Amino acid sequence: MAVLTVARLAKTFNEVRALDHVSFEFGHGILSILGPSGCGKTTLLRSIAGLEVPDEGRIDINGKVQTWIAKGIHVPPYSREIGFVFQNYALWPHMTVYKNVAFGLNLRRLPREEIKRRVQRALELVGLEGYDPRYPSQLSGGQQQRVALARSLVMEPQLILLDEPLSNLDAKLREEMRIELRKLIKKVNISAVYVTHDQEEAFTISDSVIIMDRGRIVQYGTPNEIYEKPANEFVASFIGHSLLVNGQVLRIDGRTCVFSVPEFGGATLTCSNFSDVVAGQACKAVIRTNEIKLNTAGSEPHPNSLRGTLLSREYRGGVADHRVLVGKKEIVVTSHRMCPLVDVSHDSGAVFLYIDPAAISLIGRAQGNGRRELHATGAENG
Amino acid sequence: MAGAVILAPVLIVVFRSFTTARLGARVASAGENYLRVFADAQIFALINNSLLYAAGSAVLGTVVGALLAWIVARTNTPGKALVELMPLYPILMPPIMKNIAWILLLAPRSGILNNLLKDTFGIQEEVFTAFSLGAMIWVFGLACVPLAYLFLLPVFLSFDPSLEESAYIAGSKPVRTMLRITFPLAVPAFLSALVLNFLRGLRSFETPVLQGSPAGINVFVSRIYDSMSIEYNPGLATAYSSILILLSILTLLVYVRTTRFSERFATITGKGYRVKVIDIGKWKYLTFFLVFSYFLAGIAIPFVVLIVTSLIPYYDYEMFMKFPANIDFSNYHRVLNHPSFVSGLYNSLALSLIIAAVAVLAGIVMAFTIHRTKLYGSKGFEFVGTLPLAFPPLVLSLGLVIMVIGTPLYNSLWALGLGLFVAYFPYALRNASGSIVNIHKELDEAAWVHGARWRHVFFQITLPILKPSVAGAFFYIFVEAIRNVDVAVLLTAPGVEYGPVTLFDYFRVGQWAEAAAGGVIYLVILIAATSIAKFAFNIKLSL
Amino acid sequence: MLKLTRWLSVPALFVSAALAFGATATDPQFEKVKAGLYEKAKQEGALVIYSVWDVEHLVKITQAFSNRFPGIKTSYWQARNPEIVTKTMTEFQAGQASVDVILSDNAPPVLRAAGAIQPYETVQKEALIIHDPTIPVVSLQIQALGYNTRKMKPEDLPKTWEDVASPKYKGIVALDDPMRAGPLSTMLATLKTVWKDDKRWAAFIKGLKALGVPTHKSTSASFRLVISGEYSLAMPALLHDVVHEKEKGTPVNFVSTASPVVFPRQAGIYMKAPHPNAAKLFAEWLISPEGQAQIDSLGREVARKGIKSKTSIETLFPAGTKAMAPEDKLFLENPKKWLDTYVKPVWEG
Repeated sequence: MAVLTVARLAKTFNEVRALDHVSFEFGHGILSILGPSGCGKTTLLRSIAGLEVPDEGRIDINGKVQTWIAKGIHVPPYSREIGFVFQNYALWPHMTVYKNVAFGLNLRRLPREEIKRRVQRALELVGLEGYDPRYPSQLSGGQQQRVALARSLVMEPQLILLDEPLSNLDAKLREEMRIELRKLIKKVNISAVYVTHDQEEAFTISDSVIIMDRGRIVQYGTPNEIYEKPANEFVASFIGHSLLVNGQVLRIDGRTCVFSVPEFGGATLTCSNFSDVVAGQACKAVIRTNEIKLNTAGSEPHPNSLRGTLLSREYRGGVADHRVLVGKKEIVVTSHRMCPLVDVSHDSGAVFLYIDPAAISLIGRAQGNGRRELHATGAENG
Repeated sequence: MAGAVILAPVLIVVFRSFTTARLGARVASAGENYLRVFADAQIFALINNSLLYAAGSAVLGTVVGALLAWIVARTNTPGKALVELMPLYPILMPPIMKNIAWILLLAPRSGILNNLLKDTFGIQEEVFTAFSLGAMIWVFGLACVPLAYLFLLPVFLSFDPSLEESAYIAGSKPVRTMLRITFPLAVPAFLSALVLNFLRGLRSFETPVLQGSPAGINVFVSRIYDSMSIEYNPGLATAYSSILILLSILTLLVYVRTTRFSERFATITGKGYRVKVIDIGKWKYLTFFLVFSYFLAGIAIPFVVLIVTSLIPYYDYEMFMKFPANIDFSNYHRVLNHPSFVSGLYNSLALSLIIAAVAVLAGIVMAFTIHRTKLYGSKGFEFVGTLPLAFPPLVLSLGLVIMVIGTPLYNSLWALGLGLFVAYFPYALRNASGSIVNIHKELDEAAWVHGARWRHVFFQITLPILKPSVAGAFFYIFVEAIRNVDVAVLLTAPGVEYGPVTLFDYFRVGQWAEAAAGGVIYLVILIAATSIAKFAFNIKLSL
Repeated sequence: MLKLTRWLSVPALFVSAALAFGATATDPQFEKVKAGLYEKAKQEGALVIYSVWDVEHLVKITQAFSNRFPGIKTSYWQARNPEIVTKTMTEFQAGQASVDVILSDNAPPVLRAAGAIQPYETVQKEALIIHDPTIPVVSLQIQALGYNTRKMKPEDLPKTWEDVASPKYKGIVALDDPMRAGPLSTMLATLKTVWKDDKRWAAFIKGLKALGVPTHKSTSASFRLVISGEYSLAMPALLHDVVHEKEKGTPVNFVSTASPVVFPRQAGIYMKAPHPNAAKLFAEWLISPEGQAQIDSLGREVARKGIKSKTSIETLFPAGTKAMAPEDKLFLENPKKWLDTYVKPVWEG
């Protein structure tokens, strides 16, 4: 049974469509909602929590209707039995860590002993045992984040909602917390909906990802699916590390598709990720630049090899960015610094780029500006 | 509930403004009063003077108050406990006392300062004058400082220093940071204080009458007062007040518009932090000097002038300088033997305490309803709740009398309490509103999703977090109410006495020395109460 | 038992009686009605007073009255004129039987014009300096031309009110606002009737205007400024203020050749007075020699002829000085209208 079902959810703020009839269904695990700011992801999360009343649509959690506007149903947030972790943690500054965590349990009038036991267990879980008498202002950002998490987990919800919980932490801590957060959620075995604008974070933490743009879902799939087969231009550019070029489909040979790229001086490339394209059609090719191999040794006849000119190279920590001119197009190729494929002595000389057919995805250009509403699992039961 | 209590007298007053002449003996001819008001040729000069005076003193008072709040909250200025308290004491000084003291100090020919200059440096010119727009703004502006200080101190104490730190890191100098980051974040509270002070200035009576009219500077309120005291026509007085109401509503609209995106200003985010005190190096002596200067000008100097005046047979410069050779306690003897001084003092103490508590609580409930619930029309309450500020106190008091007349409340202490509540509720509301918008909504929402309902959010989250500013508003309303004359006067009755009304009578009949003595007694009690609250019981007045 | 309790209050009785009988004799007219009024007043049992007078004065007067006429419980409310008028009128319109006596200067005539005063003519009218047939006059407000004795040399002093309008006093006069219902407008209304010469009257106002001094809205505040030396002349001061300050050793005095302008302080009986007989008894008692002695002991000017006291015209002014009082009906009932009609065109013209 689906943990969360959202059907035709719509919400308009001051004539801006924050949610444009969003529908999806989510089973168990960690779901990320990813998108640029203003795409409606936070409104979606807040609607699930009941903090926002949508204009239309229906939300079910664990098979129970929580919101169904057409029938006038809107269960208030305090009755939804969900967890929510806020961007700014929203710890109550006048309460100790213990009181913050025990807040919801106290409201449920549980016996003192049980509250104490559960709070201790939750704090242990997040690695903050012994911090209970402190005030939020005496904790570091990461510790506050954990308290916020413990506060939600202690309620033992079946679903926990997280609104960009790591965005206030510094880069290093963020990377650590990502992994820890995933472990923790898996350990307590609950479902989570995780809102973020950081695609790396979304891909690391979640089992499935929803990508949103302007109030609509543009793609819903596993991180791998989205990475390998971006549904459209928007997804491709949003997940990054990729290059978008216009192409022309030449032919389709069974599992591969051959197309030409005028910008690369008419070079032809082969790709293995494609759908909805036919020969002779104009298309967009998404090339994941971090999978491009650079070499100085000439192997031009090799399929999927391009000839280019190295313009410059910048070292960035462990990797190096190479600016290569191919045809009229400048491409940035990132390679590992310790195994340079390019001989330093050949600077400003000719280089060859090998692009694996699996590193290219083709998007038909006829797809309505590349944006199409997807009903990933057809959860249209409103 | 609170809304209805506020709205009733306001509606009555508006209705009265449409009834005409001689106290409504003839209830007819709507609009006649308004016609007269807008046909008055002097009206624009009056409005102009009123605006200059109110805006001048509001800006002076609020800027100084904000600066003092920042110094106290965020800098390592020496003498912390004293510095925290010094900006508060001036609030304790009754308004008329301030005017008396400053007239004695600044009067062109007989004033202490000009004579001192003459005696010490042989300066013959009359450098200072008590009777000018500048002096009016100075005296009332000083009186506006404590309110701004009380409104802003909790804000400076409660917001996230990382907002400032990030500016420092970005290379911003401290002064720049203060102007660009710190003060903008305090904008809602600052505007609240500014608007309130501006409205107080528009309505203030003592300063324009005592210092303005001798200089030929007439303000709007004096016309309202005239229509009350010469013609005894509350309808006309209210019609004149309609301009005041209009101005007040415009001011409020500007205010509401500016603070519309309330979340933009939310400073209490639920991200824990420590209030960071900034080491300002040797500048800390300057800031101490600033606070101390305000302490001197706001209360110490006027207070000394008053004490001396209450202890000499009469004031002129020579008598003043002869002190203490000519000390005389007869004024104190008279005041303490006054038939209703002690019972009035008791009533005013008890009632002010109760009213301050009730008003502050109601203000929070209403601000909470306005800003935190989606209750239909709740935004309208903000206006209704603030409306009493637009009415001259005597006119408002009349509305209250009409409201309670014929009920058992009439001529009882309860009616007086109700009147004070209506008069001071706007302060509580503005204060609570300014503070509630400072609390990020996520703190409420976090409680919601963890099973809290409205009552839990209110009592367990909002109220405790608001405690600092609640204490400030409580203190302010208490001190204002304990000195109230205008609203209380119509609601007192045979046997229902109110201390300040009694005290004001001394002033009215020209016995400034006795008035000063009474004022000194009140002031000593209040200063003692404040200091005890602060030090003995460690009640934090502003935090 | 009854006798004993009455004896307990003897000291107080003795003091007030001594004051009363020591000062003057009794008034035969008052003696005639006293017993009858007291009988009815005792049945009413109470007396409520609204007044502008100082609370200390009210307390002393009501105590003396209660001691003289036991069984009548007195209470008072003290406020300024606008507030008294407002409260009384509001109660009048609401049909409240709230107050019995309004003891004030400006308020009773204004309330009378609005129909909230029941006419009562005192039986002791022959004895009064000013008599009003519908409202008993119990005391007087007397205006005097006050000055600071350190600032003014005797030879420079004005001799009359009219002299003050001379250019030689330019800048040194604390001038009451003639456009408010205050002492100066009362004086102007009086002089207009007394002089019967509108040209002279207008010249006087123009002369005051030409002094180039600010106008004050508070008599008490402007008198303070004369005491402190900010101004030299008080135009006008109140006689009892001058006397009171002089006694304290303050360097002030008044010009005794300027005829005193008097304004009645009255005890108006409220239309819906719950205790009308107590109100009448109170008014009559105040006018009686005994009541007048009380008023004089408070430093207030007496209304009765032939009493020599420290604030009476007979004591302070040369023999034969005639007091002047405003008699203009319009001024008494609607001062604003009177000011707009007569003073405004001259003052602002």
